[in-house]
Amino acid sequence: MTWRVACALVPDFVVNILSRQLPLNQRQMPLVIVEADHHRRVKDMNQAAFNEGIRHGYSSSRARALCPELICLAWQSETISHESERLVEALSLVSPIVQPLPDTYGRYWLDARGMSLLGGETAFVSRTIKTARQLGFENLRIGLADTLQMAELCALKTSVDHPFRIISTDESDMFMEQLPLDYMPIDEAMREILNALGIKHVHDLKRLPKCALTSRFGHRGARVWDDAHNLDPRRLNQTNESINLQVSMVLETPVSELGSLIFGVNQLADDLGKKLSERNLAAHCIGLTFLLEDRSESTTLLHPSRPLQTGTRLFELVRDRLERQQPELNSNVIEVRLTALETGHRDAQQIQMGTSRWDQSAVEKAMDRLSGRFDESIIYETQSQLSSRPEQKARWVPVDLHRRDNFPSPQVRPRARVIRRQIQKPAELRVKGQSLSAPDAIEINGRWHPFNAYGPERLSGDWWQSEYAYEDYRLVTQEHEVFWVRYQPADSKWTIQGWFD
Amino acid sequence: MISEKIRKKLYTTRPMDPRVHRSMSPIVDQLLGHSITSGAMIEWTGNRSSGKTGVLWVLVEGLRASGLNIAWIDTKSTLCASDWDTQHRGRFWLIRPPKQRDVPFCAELLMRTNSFSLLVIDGVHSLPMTRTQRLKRIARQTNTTAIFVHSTGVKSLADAQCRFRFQAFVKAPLDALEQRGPCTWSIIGRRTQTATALHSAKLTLSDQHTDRLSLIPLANDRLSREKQTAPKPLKEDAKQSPTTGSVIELKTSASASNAAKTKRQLS
Repeated sequence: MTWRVACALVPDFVVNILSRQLPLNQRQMPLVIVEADHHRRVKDMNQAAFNEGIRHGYSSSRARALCPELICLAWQSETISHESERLVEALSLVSPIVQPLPDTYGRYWLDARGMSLLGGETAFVSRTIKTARQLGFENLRIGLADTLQMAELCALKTSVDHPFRIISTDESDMFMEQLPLDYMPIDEAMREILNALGIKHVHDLKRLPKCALTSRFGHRGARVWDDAHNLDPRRLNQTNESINLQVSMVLETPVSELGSLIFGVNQLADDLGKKLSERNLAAHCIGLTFLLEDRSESTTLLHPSRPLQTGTRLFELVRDRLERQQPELNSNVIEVRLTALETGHRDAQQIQMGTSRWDQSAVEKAMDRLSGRFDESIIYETQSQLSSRPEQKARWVPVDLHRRDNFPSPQVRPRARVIRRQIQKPAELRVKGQSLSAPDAIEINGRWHPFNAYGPERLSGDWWQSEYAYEDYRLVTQEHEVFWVRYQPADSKWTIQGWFD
Repeated sequence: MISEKIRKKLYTTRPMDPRVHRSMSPIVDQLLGHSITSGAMIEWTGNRSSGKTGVLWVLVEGLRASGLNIAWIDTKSTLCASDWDTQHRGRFWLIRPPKQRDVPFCAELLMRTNSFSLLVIDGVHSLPMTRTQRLKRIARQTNTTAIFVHSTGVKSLADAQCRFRFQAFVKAPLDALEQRGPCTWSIIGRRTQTATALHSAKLTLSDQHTDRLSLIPLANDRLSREKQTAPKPLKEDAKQSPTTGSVIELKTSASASNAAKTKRQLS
């Protein structure tokens, strides 16, 4: 399932909470929140104070020197955490997982998966904003996207008039490319260098190869490159367990060939499986991380078709990925990590209920067994082809597991219709009547059936390829069986093509 | 008194909650009793041209549209690709095992992949009780719905959780264009349990419009089309042939001569 996550953001969260005791006209004035200890450094401020030139870390006396009418309020940790908990509790009514962002106040991740089935994502956003308003947070902003980072950027790109922004999977790249670098989590030194190089937007950054950023900025450069390409392996904690389900293996010597890591990965998978079993959990998404010599890391996300809970299954998944799609690495590997990024409570023989079930490795194994047993392809799928004959507008072709187009399903209801049953080798039909071209009865299974005939559908063509000319009839017998019968005038032959069912 | 360990074991190995499958057609859902549950074994019977495949097509299309994958074991190789060539998110795989005795092997293998929500086993005459029980157990474990499609005359499955029986009657064409082919027939489907009918629905099957277009008469057939009349029901006055017991010879009835006359004119 595609990960959908919302970021709820209350601008000036701390200022809003602590200034509630003030009259409305004073809240509009320059206002800062200072530390409760004797240093009294500025920890937060409203927009009016920012416009006066006050910044984080200023002493209260320096701030007052800049703005004599400044209002200073003391930091109250208990009040802030109480209000934050109250908001989390209220938001839990609209989303199953609500998680505050680390080291910030007034920002929350919300799990938005499946909301398209619960009235749509816009309705979900409206519900969230309404819930926050009931608690007194009038200006809640929401961003909704595929990754945590993108959701946060979306929330930052909102305004008072448009308090939410929803970005679909297709729009992610376009949205990211137009952003200036100020929105990216880049330190000042790196931003200055990039600006000096003429890189001011994300689309400029995306043009650079990863190795260029890594060689110049080290692992921070690699992370920025991942951010620009919307690669964010972080996930919400679904089980409310703070324990990080991660196993790692430090290599004695740097390795350049990933195939040689198979045995080590087997051990890691076993360890992770044991950890999952101890906590009665199953993994929905696995992160395979390679730490490289240049201090960068490469994370590959693995999505099993059903939640995994055993080391064997985890290893199969990782091995398949390593064998078929190895990640491109700039440097040698010094450490391997396996992380259960998305977990849920385990269940017997679990299946992803909300999604289409498709276990590629299991299907491949089944196909191998079938081909081993029958020595021929016995699994087919349809393939369209150009033909004027109705029954030849498609044909059965052997299944190709690696060819799959994503078709959007039509939203029309299927209407009950007549389905043909076609005999593979049409048999000649025995008929009897006054003349061969106009029979009265047909013989099927050694029995003569009188009929009512309908038709003909005269078809001819393909003179340039394989010429045909015939008449198709539908014969209805006394038992209301409808046969599909063909008459070829060239050789006066009747054949039974099948029946309608 | 069950120990905590056994209780935990029972909890972790309990069967999954069944999932409800619906087609997108209200009339078919009504016939199905509003839904069919996953992990069930279902019997789907009816004579030739009874409309059982047409109704099943609606269910398959509805499930594929919702992204579920379908496997169809076609033992008699009679499915026509053009009817099933629709573009959906869910896959439709056709399996044609060389022999009837390979069907349980293929069915079991496909269900164990955990990748198909519906498995249709079409045209199997009969399966041993042990085989059906095994398939039933795997279907329940993997949450796959198994539908056995066969003719009415075949011995029914003892293990089926529910049964559907279909009957059809060809409707006389009313439209002049449909004179050249019966485009509709009326279907009565019944969901039964032992001898009791639980649900019953009546629906009409009809050809696709593209098929109907091919029934438009040619210009030089106008005369014959004007003379053509609605087909009359066949008379029951057929007599047994003296040569073989199973052969029925038809008396020269009005409808047969009418049909013959029509053929002569058309040809």
